[in-house]
Amino acid sequence: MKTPLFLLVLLALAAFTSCSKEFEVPSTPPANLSELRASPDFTWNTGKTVEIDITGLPTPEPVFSTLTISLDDGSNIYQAMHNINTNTRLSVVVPYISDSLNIRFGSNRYTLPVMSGKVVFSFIPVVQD
Amino acid sequence: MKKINLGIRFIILVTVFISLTSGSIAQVTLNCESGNRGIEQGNCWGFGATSYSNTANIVIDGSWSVRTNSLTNMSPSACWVKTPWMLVGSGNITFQARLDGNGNGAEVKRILVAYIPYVEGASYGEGTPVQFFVYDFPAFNVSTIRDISVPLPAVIQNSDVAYKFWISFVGKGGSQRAYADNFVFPGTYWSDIANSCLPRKVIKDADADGVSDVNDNYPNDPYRAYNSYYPSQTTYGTLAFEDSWPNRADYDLNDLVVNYRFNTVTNAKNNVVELIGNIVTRASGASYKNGFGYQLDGIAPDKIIGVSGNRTEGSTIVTLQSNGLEANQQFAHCIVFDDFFKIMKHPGSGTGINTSPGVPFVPYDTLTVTLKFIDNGVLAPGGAVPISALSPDKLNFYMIVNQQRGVEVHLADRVPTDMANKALFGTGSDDSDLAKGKYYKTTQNLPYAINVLQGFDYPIEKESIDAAYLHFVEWAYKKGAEFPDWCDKKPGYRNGPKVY
Repeated sequence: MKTPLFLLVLLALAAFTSCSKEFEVPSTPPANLSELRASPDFTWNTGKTVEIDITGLPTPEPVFSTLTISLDDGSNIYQAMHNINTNTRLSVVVPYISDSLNIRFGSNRYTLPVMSGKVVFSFIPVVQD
Repeated sequence: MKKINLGIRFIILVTVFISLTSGSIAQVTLNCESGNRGIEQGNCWGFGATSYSNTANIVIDGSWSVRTNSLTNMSPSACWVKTPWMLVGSGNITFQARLDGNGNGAEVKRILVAYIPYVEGASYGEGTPVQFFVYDFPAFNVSTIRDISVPLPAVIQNSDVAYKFWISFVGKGGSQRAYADNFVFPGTYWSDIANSCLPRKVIKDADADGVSDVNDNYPNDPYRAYNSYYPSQTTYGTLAFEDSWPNRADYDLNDLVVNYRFNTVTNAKNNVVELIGNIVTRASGASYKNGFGYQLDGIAPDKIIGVSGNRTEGSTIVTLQSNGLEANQQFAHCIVFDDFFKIMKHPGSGTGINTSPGVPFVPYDTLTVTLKFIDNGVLAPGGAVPISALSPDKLNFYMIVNQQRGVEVHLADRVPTDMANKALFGTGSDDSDLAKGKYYKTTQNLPYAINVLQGFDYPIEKESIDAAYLHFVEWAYKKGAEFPDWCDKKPGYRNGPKVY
């Protein structure tokens, strides 16, 4: 009876060992860098890539002007000629702590929150009937 | 006509028709078939206490009409539709209207038409409205659709200044609403959507590149228009490397330290003209003769005409092609410098440069390295690169260790170049797994280099970064969710004597 039980324990141990290759965040914070085992998907980057989804405004003819995306300090991180009636997806890299971006089209200005690495914006105003 | 165009709903909302056969006939129209009043508002129409309705049997034409609130107020500001700015033509304004609801108690149901002159500096540019037409519903019968035609006042016809039209729906008694549809206004659409819907103006564009001077960073250069900065116009990012790869690092992250700021210069067609990098050499806590460069991931070398400002003269490890990029690379490759000590001279004591306290400070140097994509309007052989193809994450920075071209150290999970010695992966402390896209990380998933977007002061010689920055480990342990500001100069954030 003892032999099968021993084998079961060995099998369970083997199964545990094979699963342990998957990354798990240690339950206790490491005291220093030598104890740290970082997540494989951690980028080690203090910046973050923000995806900006812009929904265009249907217009009877193209309306071009300068589209500017800037940080809180007014620094332009993206500038381009833009047709307001096109849908656009842009990617910018901003400091990790940036929680909003400024978008300017011509003289029209908008401040938009960065949420989960995305900024979603539509040139079509929201109206409530 | 409206039903024919249902498939292209929005296109016909605000339409300018120009007939070449019968002179110039322009019209501004509103038929509501977008079903979304926001689209019209975006196109500079105005609505007051009016909405769009698709109530069957009540809409006037197609699927949607304007519906007012109950007409129980005689003020023209109660319920209205307002056009964008127009250059008024000649002829009549036309539209259709009907009443809706029980006519009990109704006394007056009326439509007022006014024009609004443009007045510079006024709110929305709107001067005092001038009413010039009144229509009274002759009966409160809801089934009758009224065709209304409004002669334009002679004083505004064929004018070269902008006006709006203001259609108001007023009434007294009862609770009936009005429906209206198929508005046609003779004239030319003249609002500038890009300028708060104010009337269009002559745009100053000195270099005639299509970008107004006020938006043009190079108003007198037809080949350049815009600057886009990374990480920002006013700050520098910092790259800090360990040169022990693939062996274990001491993590003072100062074996090579450079600051960077890039300006992507584009033209009016949104094509990259130049990529200008300001690279500030700060420190090298090593005796190794380390180099530094970057790859533009996904950008072919023939997209670039030339490179200037880099320092590879006399190099024995770098072979350049005719455009100044490194040869034998799939992607564009700029070697900024092949040997740090060409740029900054050792002060005579201490290990390396600018990492040991008490050793003379060597002033930083700045290299302005320019990759030219378009030269006076002439493209590189490989053609244009749109700015959308050169986002900052295409910059793949790396260090070349001690004149060994194949020994590259990149940021975590950034691909090695074609010149990297792939046999080194998985040796020493390196745990790169090319199949999984894991590069330049240890078995603990620690990197050999970091990129601090907001810039930072690196540790002194032989002091690990976690000893200098007290929340660095927590930041990494929590995958950046906590202490994203670990490198800030805040109380309790760093051990000052261990920071250079």
